[in-house]
Amino acid sequence: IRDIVVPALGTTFPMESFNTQFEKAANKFYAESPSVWDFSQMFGEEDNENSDDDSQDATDNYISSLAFDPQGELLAVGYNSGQVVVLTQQDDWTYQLYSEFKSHDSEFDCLTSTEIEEKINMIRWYPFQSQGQFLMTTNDKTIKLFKLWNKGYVDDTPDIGVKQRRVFSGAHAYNINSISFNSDGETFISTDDLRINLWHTDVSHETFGVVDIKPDDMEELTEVITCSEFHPNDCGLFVYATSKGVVRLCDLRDSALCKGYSKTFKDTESDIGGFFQELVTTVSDVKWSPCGRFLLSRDYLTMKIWDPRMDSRALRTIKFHDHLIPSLCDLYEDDSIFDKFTCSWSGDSMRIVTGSYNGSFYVCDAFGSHITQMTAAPPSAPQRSNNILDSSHKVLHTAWHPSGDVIGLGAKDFGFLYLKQQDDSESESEEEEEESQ
Amino acid sequence: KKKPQVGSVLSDIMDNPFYQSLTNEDIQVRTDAVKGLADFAEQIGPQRTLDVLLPTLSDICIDDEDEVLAPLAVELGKFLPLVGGETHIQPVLYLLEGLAKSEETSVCQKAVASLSAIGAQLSEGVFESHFVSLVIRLAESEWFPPKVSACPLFADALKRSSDAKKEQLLPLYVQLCQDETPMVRRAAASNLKNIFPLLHPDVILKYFLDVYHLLAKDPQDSVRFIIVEVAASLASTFRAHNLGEKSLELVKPVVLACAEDRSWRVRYMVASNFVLIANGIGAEATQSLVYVFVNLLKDSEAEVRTAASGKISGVSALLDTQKVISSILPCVAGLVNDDSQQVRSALASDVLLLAPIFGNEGTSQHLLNIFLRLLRDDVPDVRLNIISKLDQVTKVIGLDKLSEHLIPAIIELAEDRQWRIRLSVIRYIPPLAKQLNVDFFTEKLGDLCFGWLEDSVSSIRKASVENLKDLTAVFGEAFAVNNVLPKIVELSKKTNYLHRMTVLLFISQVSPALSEAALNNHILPLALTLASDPVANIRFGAASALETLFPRLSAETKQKVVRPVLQTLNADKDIDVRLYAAQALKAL
Repeated sequence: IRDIVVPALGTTFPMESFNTQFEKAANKFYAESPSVWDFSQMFGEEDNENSDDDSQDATDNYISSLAFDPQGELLAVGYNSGQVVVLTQQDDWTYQLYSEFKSHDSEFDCLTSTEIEEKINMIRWYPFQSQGQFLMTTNDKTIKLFKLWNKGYVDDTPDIGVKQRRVFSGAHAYNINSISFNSDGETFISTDDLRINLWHTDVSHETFGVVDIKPDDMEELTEVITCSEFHPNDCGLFVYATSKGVVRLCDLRDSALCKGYSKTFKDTESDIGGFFQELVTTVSDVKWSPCGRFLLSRDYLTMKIWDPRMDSRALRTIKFHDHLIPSLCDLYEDDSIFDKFTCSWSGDSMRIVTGSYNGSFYVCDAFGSHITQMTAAPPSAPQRSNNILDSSHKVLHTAWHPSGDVIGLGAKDFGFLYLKQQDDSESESEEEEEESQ
Repeated sequence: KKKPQVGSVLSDIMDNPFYQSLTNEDIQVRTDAVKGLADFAEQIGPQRTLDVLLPTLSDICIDDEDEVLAPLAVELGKFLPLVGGETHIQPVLYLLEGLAKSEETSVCQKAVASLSAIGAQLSEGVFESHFVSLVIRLAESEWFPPKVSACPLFADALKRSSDAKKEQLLPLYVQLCQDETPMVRRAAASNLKNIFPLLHPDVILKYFLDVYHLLAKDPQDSVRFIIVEVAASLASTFRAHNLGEKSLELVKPVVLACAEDRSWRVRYMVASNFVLIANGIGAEATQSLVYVFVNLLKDSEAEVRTAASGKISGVSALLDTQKVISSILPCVAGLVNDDSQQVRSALASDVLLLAPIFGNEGTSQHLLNIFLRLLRDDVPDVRLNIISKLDQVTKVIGLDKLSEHLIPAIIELAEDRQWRIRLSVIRYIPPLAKQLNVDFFTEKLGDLCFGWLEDSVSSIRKASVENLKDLTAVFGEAFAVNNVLPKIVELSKKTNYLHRMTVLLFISQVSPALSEAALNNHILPLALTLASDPVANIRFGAASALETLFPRLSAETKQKVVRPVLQTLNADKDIDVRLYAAQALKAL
C-alpha cells in the first residue's frame, strides 16, 4: 500500500484519507474545468445499398470493440466482420487510418457443429512500448497477437506492416468474453463464461486454468462470468464479474488455482428492477482505474465505483438510467435488456464514460457528482427523436485516451471521437488555425 | 542436404537457385534456404559472402518472418571463418545486433547465442572495439527488447574486460536492474548469477548491494522469484572467497523474506532452490535455516509442498541425522497423507534417498513405516516412484523387511488398468530380482512375469520378453530352462497367433543368453515347429528367427536340419514367407 500520485493534479495523497481527498480534488477539477465536449470526427460508412439487400451485411460493419494504445497514439477498432482498423493520432488530435487487417475469419467447429463467429469481442494493446506495437484480439474461441510496425515511408505516408505473431486457441470450451494483459509484460488472462485461463505471451501450447466456476452438475449453474481485468500494476490481482452482479477480486499469489477469491463486491442495498432484477444487475463491464485504486462496474442501470479495500458496499452508485425502469418490460421483449454496455476511465482516474440508447453517452466524475449527458452525432445531423429507448442507435463501446481528453465511442457501424473543450484562449487559436487551413 | 552449386562469377550467384530461394515467396522455401547459409557461404568464399550475400541478408532481416529470422540468427553464428576472420566480422555483428533487437524472444535468444559464440573467438582488440561496444549500444537502447538481449551478453563482455572497462560496464548493468519495465529487470536479475562469479566480492558489494535489495523487494512477483537463485549464486561466490559470514548476512534476510512471500510462486522458488542455497551458504549455516524449509514443507500451496518434498534428501544430506529426525521427519510423516497426489508422488521419489543417510538401523527405525505407507498409496504413480528407487533402500537394509509389503504392491501395480504403469513395473523387476533368490522370486513373482507374456497390449508383451532376458542374465540358464521354457512351449501351442509371435520374439531375444546345448535342445525345435505354422506371419517370423540363430548353430545342424525347413518355406504359397525364407537361405 503506497501513497498515490495523481499526475494530473501533480499531487500525492496520503494513504489514510485518500478517498475523501481524491473526491475533493476530483470535484474541484471538474468544477474548474467544465465538462464540455466537442464532436471531433466520425468514422465508418453507412452502406445503405447493402443493408437493403442483406441485413447480415449491415451488422458486419458494426463496431464490436474499441481500444486506445498505452500512448494514445493509436486507436484500434474491431468489427463484427473480424476486421480491425487502426487509426493514428494527428497533430490536431484527429485520427486517421494507420492500418487495416482481417483478424478473424468465421470458422465451423466440427466437434460441436457450431459456427464460430469472426466478431472481435475484445482488443487489448500490449502495455509496454517498443519499436513495434502489439495488439491482441479475440473472437469467441481464438485469441491472436498481432504486431504492427512501420516498415518505412512511401511518399511520406508510413508503410505499416502487420504480422500475426501467435495464435492461442483450443483452450476455451465456452465463448471468450475478455482478455487482459498482466503488468508483468509476459502473461495475460482470457475469460469465458465459466473459466479463466492464464497464458504466457510466448507460449501458445499451454495455459493454466486459474478460475473455474463450472459446477459438477450443469443443472446447478446459476451464474456466468461476464468480464475480467488484471490490475494495472499489481501483478497478482485481477477481478472478474458475473451475471449475478458480483465482482470478485482474485489474487494469483494465494494459490495456483483461485478456487476461492480474496474479496467479493456485491451491491445488496439497492433493489431495483423488480422482476428483472437479475437481468439488470448483470455486470456488463468492469474496469480498474488507471491508478489502480478503484474499480468501476457497469450494469444495465447504473455504474458503481468500488474501493477494493471496502467490500461492504459500493463507494458510489451512479444512477443515470433510472428513466429506463418504467420500460424494462419493453426492453426485455426486444432483447435490449441483454445489451452489454462498456465503460471507461479517463487516464487521470478522475472521470468515467459510458454509453446508452438514442446515441447518448454519459461523462461524469469518478464520484458521480456531476453527470454530463451528450449525444453522439455529427453537428450537422438532424435532431434525433426524443425516444430515449431508441435502441437502433446505442453507444455500446467506449474508450478514453490514456493521457488526453479524447473519448472514442462505438455505436453500431459508426465510431465517434469527442474532444474536451479546452480553455477559451486555446480553442480560439485552434479555430483560427482551422480557418487558415 | 543437397549442396548448392556455385558458379565462379558474381552474376552467377545472382542466378544461383539457392541464392534465389532466399527471397522466394514461400516462407518454407526461405526457411530451408536460410538453414543452408553457412554451407553456401563456405562455397562462394569470403569475398563474395561479404560483397553479395551479407547485403542480401540485411534486406531479409528488415521484414522477414520470425520463422526465417531464427535460423538466420543461428547460421550467422558460424560466419566468423566464412567472412575471412575477425577483420571482416563487423557486418555480421551488425546483422546479429539487428536480430537481437527483435521483439520475438526466440529470434533474440538465437542472436544472443550467436553473438556470444562469435565474441568468444575474437581477439582482445576486436573484442573490445566491436563486441563490447555492441553490448553497450544494446543496453543503452530506447526499447526493452534490445535491453533484454544485452543482459546475457554482459557476462561475456565482463569475462574478458579490463578493470577499467568493467567500471564502465557495471554501472550500465546496474541501470538495467532498475529498468522501468519488468521484462528488463527480469533479464538483468536472472543473469546476475552468471555475472557474480566473474567479479570480486568487493566489486559486487560496490555495485550491486543496493540493486540486490531493491530486486528482492520488487513489486513484480516474476522479478522477486529470480532473486532466490541470485542469492544462492551470491552465497557461493562469497564463500569461494572465504567470506562465508558476509554471504550469510546478505543471503539470509532475502531467503527468509522470499520464503514468507505472499506469492506462492516466490515461495516455490525458495523450495525448489533450497539445496542450491544450502550449498551456497554451507552446511553449518544451513542448520539455522532448517525451520524455513520445514515451513515450506507445510506450505498452504500444494505446488510449494511438491517442490519442497523433492528436496528433502538433498537438504537432509547437509544436516546431522539427529536434526533431520527431530525437525524434518515429523513433516514427512504428515506429507505421507497429503491431500495432493503430486506432493505424495514427489515425496515418494525423494524420501527413499534418505536411507543411505540414515544407515541400516536408522532406516528401519524411522523410515520403514513411511516407505510402507507410500507403498500402499491409492495412486499408482506414488507406489511406482517408491519401487523405482527401491535399490537405495535395499542396499542399506536388504529386502527382507520390505518384501512382505512390496510383493503385494508390485502385484497390484502389475495388474493396473493403465498399461504404462504395468510397463514401468516390468522395468523394475530385473533390479529387484538381483536381490532375491531364485526360489523366492519364482514363487512370488514368477506367475506375474509369465502373465505379462499374454498381456493384451503389445508393448507389455515385448517388455515381458525383455524382462525374461534380463532375468536369465540374473538367475542363469537353469532358471530359463527349468522355469521359463515350459511356459514358452505352452505359449507356442496357443491358438491366438499373437502369442506365438511372442514366442518368436523370445527366440530372437533370449537365445543369445543361452548355451548352445539349450539352444539345440529347446529353442531350435521350437523355431522349427513354428516354421510350419498355419499363419503366414508366424512362418516368415520363424524364418527370420532361424536366421538369428545361425551364428550359434553347428554347420551340420544348419545344413541337415535347418536348410530343408527353409527350402520348404521358400516354396511357400505366401510371397512374404518366400521373401524371408530366401533371405535366410542366402545368409545360410
